[in-house]
Amino acid sequence: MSLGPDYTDAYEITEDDRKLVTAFRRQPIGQHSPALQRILVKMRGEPIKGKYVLICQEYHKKWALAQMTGNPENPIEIVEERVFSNLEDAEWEVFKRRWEKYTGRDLAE
Amino acid sequence: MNAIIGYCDPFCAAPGEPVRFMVSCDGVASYRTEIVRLICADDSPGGPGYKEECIATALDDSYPGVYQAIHPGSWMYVAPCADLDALTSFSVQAFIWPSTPEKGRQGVITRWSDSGSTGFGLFVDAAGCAAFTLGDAAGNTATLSTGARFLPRQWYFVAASYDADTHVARVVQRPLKSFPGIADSGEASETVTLGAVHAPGVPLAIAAFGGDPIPGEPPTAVAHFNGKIDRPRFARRTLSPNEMTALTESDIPSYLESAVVAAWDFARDMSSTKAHDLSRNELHGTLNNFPTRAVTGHNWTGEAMSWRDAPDHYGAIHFHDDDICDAGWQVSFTLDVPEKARSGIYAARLASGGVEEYIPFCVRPPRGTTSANIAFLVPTATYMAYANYVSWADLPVAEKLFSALWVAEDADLFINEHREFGASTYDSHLDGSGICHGSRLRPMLNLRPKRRQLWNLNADTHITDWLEALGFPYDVITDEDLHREGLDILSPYRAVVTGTHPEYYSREMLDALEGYTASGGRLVYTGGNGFYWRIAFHPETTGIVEVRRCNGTRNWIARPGEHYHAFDGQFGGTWRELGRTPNRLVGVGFASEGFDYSTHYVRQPDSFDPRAAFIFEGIGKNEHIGNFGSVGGGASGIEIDRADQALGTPPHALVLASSDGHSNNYLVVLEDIPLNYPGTGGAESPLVRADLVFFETAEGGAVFSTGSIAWAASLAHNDYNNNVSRITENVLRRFLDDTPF
Repeated sequence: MSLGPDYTDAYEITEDDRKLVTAFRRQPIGQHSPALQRILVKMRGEPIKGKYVLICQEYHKKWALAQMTGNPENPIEIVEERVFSNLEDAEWEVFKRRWEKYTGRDLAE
Repeated sequence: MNAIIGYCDPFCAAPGEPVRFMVSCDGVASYRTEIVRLICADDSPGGPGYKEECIATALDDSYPGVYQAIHPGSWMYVAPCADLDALTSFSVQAFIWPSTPEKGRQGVITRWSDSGSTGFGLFVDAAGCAAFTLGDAAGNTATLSTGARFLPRQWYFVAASYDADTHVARVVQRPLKSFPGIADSGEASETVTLGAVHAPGVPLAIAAFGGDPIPGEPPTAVAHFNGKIDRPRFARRTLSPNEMTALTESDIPSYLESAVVAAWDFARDMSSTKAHDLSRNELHGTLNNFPTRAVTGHNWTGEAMSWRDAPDHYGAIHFHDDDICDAGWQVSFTLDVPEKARSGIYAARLASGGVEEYIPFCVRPPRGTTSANIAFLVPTATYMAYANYVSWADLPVAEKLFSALWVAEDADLFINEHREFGASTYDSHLDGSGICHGSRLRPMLNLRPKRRQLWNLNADTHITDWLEALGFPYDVITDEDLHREGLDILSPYRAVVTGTHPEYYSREMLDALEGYTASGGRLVYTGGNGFYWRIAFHPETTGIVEVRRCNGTRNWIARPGEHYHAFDGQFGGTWRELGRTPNRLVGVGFASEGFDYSTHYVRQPDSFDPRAAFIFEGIGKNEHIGNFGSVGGGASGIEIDRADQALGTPPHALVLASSDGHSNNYLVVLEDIPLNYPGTGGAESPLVRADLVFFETAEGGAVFSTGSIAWAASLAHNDYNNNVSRITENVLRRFLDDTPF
């Protein structure tokens, strides 16, 4: 039985996926197309060490980007003072960082 | 940083009764104390607005800030006594199943003082091998190690002995199962140069060794062991290998009775904090910090699934270095609930400088009376189960589950950094095993009004806020009251309203609610994922529940053979698997969960049935119900329930409305999936929906269910003028009418 031509890279994020980025930017939280969901399953499933979370600094007003360390002594570190005034911008920032990690390309390119 | 933290006991009291508050302060010299009645704990911009009411009490204005330590880690101890002090030669043995042999020195059976370097201990050493350490009164020590590393989560027989005449010390480690090429069996023997091995004043400990005693304080321990210990034995002389083998039997052989100092049978008194000694010396142990009992032993075969059927297969206790149920703090102040205090949800507000802490509690009406015809049932068992939830930081799948970045608030960060307060029953111990005990006898750091996710307490006050806004008087009853007093506490009420998430139910609680609806009561279930897990309350210590996650949709999976509660011997897991589905009680049962957005309900043909006319008075035929709300923007969301006659929804139940448009981040619950298949997301599967259900019950009673946690967060929309509020009001007004259904 053939696994199909796209089996091995089914969850690889490539430049072909750039067409999905606009949809994520427009609505980072909610129902996504199957193609975008595939990317998010990979991005949001990263291991704890290095995983991004947000720290609420002012209730409903201000969130700081942070990363988990996997070290119980210092489990969370704030990332270079990246602060957001809405959650959508924070999701977008993390998406861009993960995009670069997986494709080696800057989304701004 | 939470510089003031605390908890109270009891969680619910009647006027005139005391509530004790245990508070610990870090860098706070004193704190102001006020008692407030919480009307709405949600201070989010989209909500009804935070509302509290300060009440007059006889408390002092302020109290001194005192630091109180918390000592996690379960262990067994026997206080020092003459029998133990008289020993010179001895032998100890047990079966052990170390779960983190690599974590550093861990006590197995000890009578050891680190500060004095006196006594003895059978340990897992820093290298992960069985080791035997001895020390004399002068502080001279000797240590022998088997040099064979334990495999994690495998059973071993371990033993250590010392002959005071020959000075020969010996330690043994034997795996019960061998693997080719793995050398995890070993022993060591040595003639040591020591005076008498003696540790007066030091407790005998299992799964740790005793810390230095502090006068007036309960004993503490260090070097906690992670894993199971089965059939620990202690003899007053060295034993031959054959004698050691004979002593592994569940009973003490008669010819060894005089040699045995103690032989603990962990399968006895399973629900208690006592460890029974089979020997004539009755050196019964005390179990601290609630280790997990009713776990499979070294000889469990799978033939028996309940410890009651084969107690000798359940001779083990699973100890954890992060077990904690009762912080045991000193009382900082005691509130005598004022005689005139109305029933409701309250909190002690403690403040110092910019630091503020709330410790919630409840006031029920004076005993034997009611002050309203509605009882609001505060789901405190659910609060206990979720106390100190930290899976967001432990589970890589959490971000996928929430379909968004986790937003950590102060309490989340504190819990994550301070695991000593114990995590929730959703989390796992540091050794990877699921936490099956939930307790309110320690700070429940995520149970706080304001600046929190709209979840549990904060979400439940959307209902109290709505009741007050619409002028419905109500009494408050908690899960623990319901568990203790049963149907009697509900029967005087014309209607009972649940919280948003009444998920955890003991048999006694479920019996009471079923009895209520079967005897003319009217039940409004304004929540989701209700009546789901079976729990047991500890029979000796109030404020502690047990849950065994052996089926259902769950964060961890109970180990094989460990599906029966220790607290009451009953099969745990979900009520659905026990044949008492939520559908039978409230017409709906858990269908799905998701955390991205909430949605609305669409009216179904049953909503036009004349029996439902009172519910939809003032509601348009084509109106979407609840396409608004402060939790995800809709009334159907977070955790949702659907009707299903095959699961017990009564055949005459009216399915009034169903939710529509959940995303694929909502997935069909595991218990609805006989085998896995693609297409179980909300956009694909008709099983992912919330149903609004009404049905009549015996003797003129009735049930109305919303099947959604998010429902309550829509009540206050547009200043309470909306169709979710109107439907709920229509239902409640009719439910308060004595006319039988």
